[in-house]
Amino acid sequence: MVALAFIFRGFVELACLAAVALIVSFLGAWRNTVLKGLKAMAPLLVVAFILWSFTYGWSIFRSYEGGGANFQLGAFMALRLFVIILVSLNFIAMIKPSELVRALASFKLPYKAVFIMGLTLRHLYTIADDYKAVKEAQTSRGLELDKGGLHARIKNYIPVLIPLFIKSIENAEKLTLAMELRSFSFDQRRSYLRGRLKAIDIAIISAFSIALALTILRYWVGAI
Amino acid sequence: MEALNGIGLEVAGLSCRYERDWVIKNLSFSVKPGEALAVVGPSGSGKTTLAYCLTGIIPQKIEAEVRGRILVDGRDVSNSPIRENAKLIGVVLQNYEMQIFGLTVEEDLVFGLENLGLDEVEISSRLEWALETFGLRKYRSYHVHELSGGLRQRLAIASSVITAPKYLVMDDPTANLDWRGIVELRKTLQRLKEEGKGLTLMVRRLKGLEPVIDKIIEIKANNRSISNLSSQEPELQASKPGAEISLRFEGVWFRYSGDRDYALRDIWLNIEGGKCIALMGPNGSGKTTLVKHVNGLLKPTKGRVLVLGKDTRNYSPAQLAKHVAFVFQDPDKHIVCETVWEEVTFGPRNLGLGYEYAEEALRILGLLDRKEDPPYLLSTGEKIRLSMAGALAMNPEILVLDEPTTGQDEETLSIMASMIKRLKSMGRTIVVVTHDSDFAAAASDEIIVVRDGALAARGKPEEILLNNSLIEEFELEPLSSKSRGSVEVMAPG
Repeated sequence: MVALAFIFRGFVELACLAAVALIVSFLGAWRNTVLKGLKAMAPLLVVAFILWSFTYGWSIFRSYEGGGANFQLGAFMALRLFVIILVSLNFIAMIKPSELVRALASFKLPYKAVFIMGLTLRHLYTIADDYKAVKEAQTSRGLELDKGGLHARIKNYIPVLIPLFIKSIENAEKLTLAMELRSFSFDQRRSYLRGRLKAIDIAIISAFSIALALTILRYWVGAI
Repeated sequence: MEALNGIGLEVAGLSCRYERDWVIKNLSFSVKPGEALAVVGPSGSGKTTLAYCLTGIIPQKIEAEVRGRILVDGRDVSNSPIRENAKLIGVVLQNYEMQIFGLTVEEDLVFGLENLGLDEVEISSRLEWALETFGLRKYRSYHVHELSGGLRQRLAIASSVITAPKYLVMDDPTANLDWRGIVELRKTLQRLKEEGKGLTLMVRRLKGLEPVIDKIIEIKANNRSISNLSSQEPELQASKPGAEISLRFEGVWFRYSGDRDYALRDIWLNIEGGKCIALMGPNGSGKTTLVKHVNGLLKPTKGRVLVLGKDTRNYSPAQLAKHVAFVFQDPDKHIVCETVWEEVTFGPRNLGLGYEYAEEALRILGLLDRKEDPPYLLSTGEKIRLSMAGALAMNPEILVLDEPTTGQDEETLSIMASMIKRLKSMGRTIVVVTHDSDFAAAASDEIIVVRDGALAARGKPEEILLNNSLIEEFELEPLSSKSRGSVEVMAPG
């Protein structure tokens, strides 16, 4: 349950180092997903680079004496964005919803919260299915969705959302009945499958926490 | 304590009603451990209501008037908490999707055990037992949404059985299964019987399960019956005569975005107007993917599909709706309006048509007197008929029916078959996806077997369905002896 990567956000050129570390980390099995995601994000990086390089000096909020293009800043910002994207992608590709839920449980969060989160994640899939089904049912009976301008299109989707909403409520009702049938209660103590933090988890978590603490000390407190 | 009749699930003189009409009337039966009882009844005959009564959900959670008595091992169900009942009676709901709580197979199996407050050793031993017994070991850490419908059902059964109830109630377990699924289910039931569980199955038709059933009770539909079609004069006028090719697949390949494998491979088809084609084949073979090309919900990755000469790539599904109507499987998900009437007229309203076909379709399918009812009050069978009426209301030239036969009783099936005949005589084209061999034999002119995304076999119904080696190879449902007789008459020689 290496679920902590998302805390980490590089502040400085140190981000450069982090990027190297992360490239190592995505030599794993999920590499393809990450690469695909990065490819999709590439234009964003380019845009970020250009925007930060050229507009910072002419910002309407501040006026720097230097003005002009600042490629160094552009490169830094693009790199920072790259790291953030990379870390999040890794996180998404690596962690299954169930692992996330278990990780939360292992942090001793109240069972109620963890259970509801798990149930929500589970039903996101149901809702996505329902959404697709409603859309299919309506377009096959002559409802034109992707036509007209932006405003018209948004309006077109209202008939899709209403049944979806009603269905979700109906489903909630069925769900409570079904829970009753499985003798569900919040009081039961749960231990199985919750998992504990392993040594490697603790090592990684502490390493990142120390790194984070050091950065904060250095840049905000100015201690180091 | 074990007074009355001791061991067994016993229902005595049970009646139940929500409002005025009795949904269940004076029903009595008993099930002993190791016995399997089938309650057979058409859609809307109160099977789901019975399942709720047996667990005490009615009257404790859903308000209804209940008479008679239900005893489980001598204990009255309606007075004891549902939680306690659930320990004795496991229920697999018709809508088992809602019964699955875990994100993964393993989590879901453990869920019920944790609710009982068992210790870890007990939990893990029962978990292993269930994974083994239900053949789920391979899927242990699969996410639920990655499983096929049949597997999800098996998971729902496993999760109900894992808490070791003595009795198991299943509401229409065969509804969504293909023949292979039914055979699997039969084996599961056999195993449960051998373990001494008392089984109560509510089904619309028994086909495929007969060997494991010890007792059968038939219940009748409550007073609403479907109008008899044969007595009616056709009122829908033939607007366009057929006989030309109305639907054409030219070397269609298709794959879902993100998938590496093709879901359809090199499909060539020519379907004439006035013909009915049945698509058969196991779940997951690409039948639904294929028919979704007919109304442009999916567009070919390679090749093209022509609907009345129009290339579907150039038209949206909404534009094609003028020509093609689509009845989806799983009506629960595809019914979108708040009353039956609104639902039926949804298509005509979008297309700017009159409502005469809508009215007629409701009448044929026996739903006219339920016009003002909200769809959720309908039984599953009625919902499928409603979806069909919604399609017919648009007076389409091509009608696609995706598994309309699931969970329908014999009467509705014969009405559907005669409806298809009538549409054919009007020159309409019908494409129907079905697992029901009897229905395919009765309604279609040609059967096409789809397997692994390719056309595996095609021929006249008698050529396919009387050929035992084909039936076995493609795991099709064998014909019942009754329709075997009528098909053999058609077959030459």
